[in-house]
Amino acid sequence: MFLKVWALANNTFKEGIRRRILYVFLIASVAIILSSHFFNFLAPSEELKITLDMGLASILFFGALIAIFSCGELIPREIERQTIATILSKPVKRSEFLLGKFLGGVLLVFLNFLLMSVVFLFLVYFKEKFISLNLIKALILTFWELVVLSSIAICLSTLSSTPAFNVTVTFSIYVVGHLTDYLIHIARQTENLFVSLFILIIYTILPNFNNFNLRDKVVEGFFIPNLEVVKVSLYGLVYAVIMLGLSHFFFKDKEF
Amino acid sequence: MSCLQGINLEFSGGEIFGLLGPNGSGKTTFLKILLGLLSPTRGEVFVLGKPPYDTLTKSRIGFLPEIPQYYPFLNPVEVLDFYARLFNIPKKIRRVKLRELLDLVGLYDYRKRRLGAFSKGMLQRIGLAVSLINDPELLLLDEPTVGLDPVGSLQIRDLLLKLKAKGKSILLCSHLLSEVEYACDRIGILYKGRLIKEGRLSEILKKQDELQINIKPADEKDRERILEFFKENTEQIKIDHPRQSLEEFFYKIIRESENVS
Repeated sequence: MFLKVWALANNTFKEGIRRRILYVFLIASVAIILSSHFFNFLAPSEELKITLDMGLASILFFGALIAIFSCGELIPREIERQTIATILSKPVKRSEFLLGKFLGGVLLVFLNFLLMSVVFLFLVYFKEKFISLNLIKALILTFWELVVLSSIAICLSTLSSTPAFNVTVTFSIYVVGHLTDYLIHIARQTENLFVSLFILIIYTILPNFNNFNLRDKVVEGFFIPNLEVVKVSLYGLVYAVIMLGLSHFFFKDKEF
Repeated sequence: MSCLQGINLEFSGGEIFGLLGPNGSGKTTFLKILLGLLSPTRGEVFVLGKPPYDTLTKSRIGFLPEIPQYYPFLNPVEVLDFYARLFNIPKKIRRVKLRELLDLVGLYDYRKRRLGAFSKGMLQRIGLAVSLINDPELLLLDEPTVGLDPVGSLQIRDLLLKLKAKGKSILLCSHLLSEVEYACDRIGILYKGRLIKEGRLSEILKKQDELQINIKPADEKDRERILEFFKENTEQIKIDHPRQSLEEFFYKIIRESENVS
């Protein structure tokens, strides 16, 4: 099973690295990370804070765009090109196909994330001659957030074969997932029962991306316990597994 | 209303079975059901004695889709290697197989060229190589020559005959009658989801109430004598020179030119 999944993942990765749009995102993110060095004039005493804040934010934002655009189109492209029929007519289970596509997508996201992180860490080291463990922890959770987003993109693409729809909906989930704290506040404030119920359902279903956000703690230099990183990583893993399970449910009887 | 009903096909090795039918008759649906890409709404399907979605069944089947589109960024070696890995074929065997198949479909010299630069005919041939990667017992081909020029069609048909000689069972779905007539041993006609006719091509096309006699007269005198004999002994007779089809003529010319070059 693993060899087939790896063959699919490898092929997905090879296809992904040829997509120009991902290079655009990568170059833009690196440009923003490096440009943070020139924004120091805004607050000369807060140089490092600006670099950390801008760097982590742009890694997350452009990593999210890469995850959404690459993973959201993986399955629709196979359907459009009908290569899916040539693969599923071979002794490949649908679960293996899904897992291979997901792992290939995550590998692609990881490569881009790694490149952005290396540039960012290099810049921080250049300024401080030191890289804090907090920063590494924040990057680990940022990656988990991207994994969750990739799993959501894959799940949506098993429901709809229109890439534009998948990209839009996944991006909306990414935005709303960062606003869950506001949502729960609105749900408590509103007097309309249906609105309150609707918001609570959205709050329960969507991932709480704020859990993955350690940016403020890193910037302010607060201590981040290892247990928190482990807990949130597990939350990300479980959410991604649930998304893959749902994807399999939608995909197992799909006709091609 | 059912799309397909009660179809039962039996194959023996080294045989090409042509499944004919107009557009919308259910040929592609039938193939997709055999491949486990579609599920029947009712009833059961068995391929080689097992359900089509069984991975063991799939490992015994080869499939060439209509107008195959593989990954344009890969070259033939990479494409074949990718599909071979889906069968868990070990690396050493993969290497040998890849060479054999590229030789068989005549693409060894193009093994490093990306598929994005391939013509339709070359893609069809690489598709055929992909369908043979697992040395299948049963080969399912959906319109293998659609969109190809006559030379491309000829190459594919010759390949099918080579595979037949190697003992493969081939199910060829097509609406191109000449293609089926040229390559197939038996045919079935699918119409509105039902197999309305099935049999050996030579038997089906035979006009039972007529006779055909092919004679090569030695000279003009001999010819006159033969004509006289038939005219005297039978009332309904039509005598003419046998005529080859344009297709036969075209292929003959192409083969002759290939031999010369």
